[in-house]
Amino acid sequence: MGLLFKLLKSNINIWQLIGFMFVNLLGGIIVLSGVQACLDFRNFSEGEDALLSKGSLVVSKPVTAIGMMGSLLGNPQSFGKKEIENLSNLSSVSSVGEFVSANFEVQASVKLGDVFLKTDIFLEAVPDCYIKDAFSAVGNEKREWSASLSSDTVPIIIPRNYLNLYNYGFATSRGMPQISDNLLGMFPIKLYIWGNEGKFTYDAVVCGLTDKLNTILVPMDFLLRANDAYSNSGEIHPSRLIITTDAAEFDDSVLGYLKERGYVIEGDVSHVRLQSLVYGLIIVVISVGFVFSILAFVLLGISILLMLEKNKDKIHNLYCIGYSSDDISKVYRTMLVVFDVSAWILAAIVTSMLYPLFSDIMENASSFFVPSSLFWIWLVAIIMSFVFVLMHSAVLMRRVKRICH
Amino acid sequence: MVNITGIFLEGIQPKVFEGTPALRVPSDVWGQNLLLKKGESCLIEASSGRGKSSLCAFLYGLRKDYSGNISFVTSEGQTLQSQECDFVSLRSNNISLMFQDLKLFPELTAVENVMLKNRITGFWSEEKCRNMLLRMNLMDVVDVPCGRMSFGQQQRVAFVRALAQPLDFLFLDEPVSHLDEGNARIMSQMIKERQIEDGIGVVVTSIGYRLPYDYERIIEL
Repeated sequence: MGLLFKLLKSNINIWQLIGFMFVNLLGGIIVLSGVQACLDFRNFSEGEDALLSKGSLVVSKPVTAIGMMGSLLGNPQSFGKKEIENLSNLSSVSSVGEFVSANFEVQASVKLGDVFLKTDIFLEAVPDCYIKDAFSAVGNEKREWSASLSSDTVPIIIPRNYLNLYNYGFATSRGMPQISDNLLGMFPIKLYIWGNEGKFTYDAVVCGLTDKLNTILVPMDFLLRANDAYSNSGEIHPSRLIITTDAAEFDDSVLGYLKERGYVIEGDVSHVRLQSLVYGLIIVVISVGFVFSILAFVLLGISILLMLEKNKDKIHNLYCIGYSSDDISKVYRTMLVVFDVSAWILAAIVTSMLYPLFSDIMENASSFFVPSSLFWIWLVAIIMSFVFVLMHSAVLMRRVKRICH
Repeated sequence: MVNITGIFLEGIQPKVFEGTPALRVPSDVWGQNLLLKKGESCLIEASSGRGKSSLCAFLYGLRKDYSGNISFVTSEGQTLQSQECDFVSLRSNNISLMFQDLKLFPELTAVENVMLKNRITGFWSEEKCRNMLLRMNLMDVVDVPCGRMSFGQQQRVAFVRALAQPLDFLFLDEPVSHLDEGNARIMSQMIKERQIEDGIGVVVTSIGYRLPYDYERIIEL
């Protein structure tokens, strides 16, 4: 290889190769950062919420003056059987789940050091299938999402807003310690239920946080039994519903139907829209990166072809004295492997080095953010360098063969 | 690795001759059947433009613009048609050509030019390459880039390079056109040694000034 390289290197244009390295490095960093951002955002948008997976909405009826009057008279605004059936029949709706509310009085108390907090609260339940199976959003211990009336403890899911309200409002103003997600499960919360036959006490354990719904959830089975045991009310229609779709997001026909009926959609539509927007932006960024990478690919390809053109006579003479076109290509192929692989590996190294800076900022900005593994960056870099080498080699070998023959 | 014991030319004729009646003059090669045998030395003489270099290129597999057929007879009795031959392998192990235009690499030194060919098969050591160049009176220019040498010096480098591989047939296309008598005799001596050592077939073309050698056949092209 030494003599062959000495012979064929004479027409290497170092500036063209530096240009390739620079453009490919830039493109590579953008592509790999885009890939990493995509993974981070997926974790961010799907990661920590204990309730409701992607593609689900919570709908309720708006509070109107007439509705208010009705609820004062003991007829709160709720969904009838027909309305639920109509929603179930919409083409892209895969399921409709009903919220069940507690029909009894509930109080919760918590003791934080010397401070004792006690307040009236409400409880709701949704079918268990809407609660993620194996969540451990709070603490590391997995808790079973079930309880019976005879249990001592009841698992609950609370809105993250409650924790934020405490941490950034109450705790700060009262000089009390802030509580992290992980520690929340360790705080003893007491639930006091006032039923027909007196007061019942349960230990509540927070085992999940949700950003998607402002309510305190308990297991459905527990709430149904508690309603039977502690309340005299008859059948109550649900005031809120969860609807889900198997598609990536709800199509406009569903959203149009909900709007037409005047239903209120809680939170998630904007979340889905934001998600689409962010994914769209990431795709644009990755595409820009790819444009740079393709430019670099073409640049190196042209450099190699120019080099072959300038070395045409030498290549033909080498063939004449007994070298095969494959032997001759090897010199250029080695060069291609070095440049293609090193550009992508360098891009992966730079991206890996920059990523901790980005993830630190994100972790400080949001407790939701969980840094992704760098595995995918390296995998993409290796695949891309492999594809570049393969395609460059194919062009190179074809050209060398043509010069030889 | 197969050995080539003979090259059979069956009525070959450059395609360019077919449409040019003036070029179709009687010849011992063009349009004839001819067997070149391993171990035999053969001089092919012709005036300018009769296709000496073309014949070498046809035999060496670099050009295919001829009618007729060229086949290689192996030591195992097989006949390999020129169109089906793996010429890369043949050029590395069986046949060698000293080109009229030499095809040296001017940026490489004399010894590097020889080593470049030699490294395909590792036939000689570097020392042997240098010794062969010294024998051709190139001691002062062994490490000088060929681009700075006279054509006569380059011709001697090209000759040594042509020997730097296993051989059954050696083709020399006007090898002494720029050599003095003394160097031509040394060249002839080195070919003879190789012929005795390996029993190679030698095919030399000449436009008038011959490589001095005891040819067994002299053919008019």
